[in-house]
Amino acid sequence: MEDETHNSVLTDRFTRHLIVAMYQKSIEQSSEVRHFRARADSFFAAARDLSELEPTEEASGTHSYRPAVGLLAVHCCIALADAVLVATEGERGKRQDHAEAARRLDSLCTVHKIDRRGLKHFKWLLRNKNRFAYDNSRVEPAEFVDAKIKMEQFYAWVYEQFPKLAEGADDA
Amino acid sequence: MRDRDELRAREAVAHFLIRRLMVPRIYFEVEWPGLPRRRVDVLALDRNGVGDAHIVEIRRSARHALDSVPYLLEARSPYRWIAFFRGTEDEQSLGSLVSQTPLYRDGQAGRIGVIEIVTMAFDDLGANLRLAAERFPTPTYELARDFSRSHQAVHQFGSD
Repeated sequence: MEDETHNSVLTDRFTRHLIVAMYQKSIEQSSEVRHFRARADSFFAAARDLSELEPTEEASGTHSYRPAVGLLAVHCCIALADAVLVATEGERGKRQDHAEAARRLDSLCTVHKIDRRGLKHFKWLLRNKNRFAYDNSRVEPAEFVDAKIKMEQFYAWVYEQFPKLAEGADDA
Repeated sequence: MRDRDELRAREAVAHFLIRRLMVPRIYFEVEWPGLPRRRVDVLALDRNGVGDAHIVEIRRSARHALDSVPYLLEARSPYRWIAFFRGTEDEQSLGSLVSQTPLYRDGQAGRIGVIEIVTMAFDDLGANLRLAAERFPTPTYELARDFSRSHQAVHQFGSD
């Protein structure tokens, strides 16, 4: 039993080293990875700053930023997923099929035994993209808060599982 | 014993950094391996603990904050900051802050940033940018990873 546990730890470490080696080179060489990371950061910062401006009470003449924050959160995570996919597989997700990016991340996690818990936040945001962008009903305060939290959770998960992605100065 | 308001200001500085960085982990009064023999008042490790390090020294007065500059210039951290209460500048410290000369290191890129602590309504404290920190060419990714694995952050974004 102890041997099995030991072997499992070694396998995990080996897998981790493989993953790191696999995408370390890509990140150092790829301005594309940094481009998508910078784009994700831009959406993230905009969502964060807009959410600070959200009026606490609804009054005539004030605009709600809720749908905008929701949509920015979605696009932020799509861009960050693209950064991961370019770093690991050399190719971003398909532009018109964002669910494909989620599927690829899912399969990357399966193949390399990466903790996939953070993916559920990305999938939640993708499911709600049309809701934030096109639906004819209003976005409720709870949904807006959820979108921002899901964005932060997905961000935290990506850097937890793909720490090399954090390296290097930001693109100007 | 540390000044009470300096200790209170850590929280304001933490929120200042949370507003500027991407899901950072924040630590108070810790020994950062990039600054030996000294505790850092506030340490922020960007991107959930694996990105750039930001170290901040907080003092009540501008003069005392500027006294920390030589230590910060020797530190290993891509971003370094001093913070002090607005209105505490004397003539000499004001001159240093206007010229900015002490905030640079000869022959190296990078500038120590300056944060102002302000007292707001109900005696709450806030932190504002006075001079943006510029990146020093001293990456600390390995240090950050090891540090965030072994230390409990005061502020951290969950992933689950």
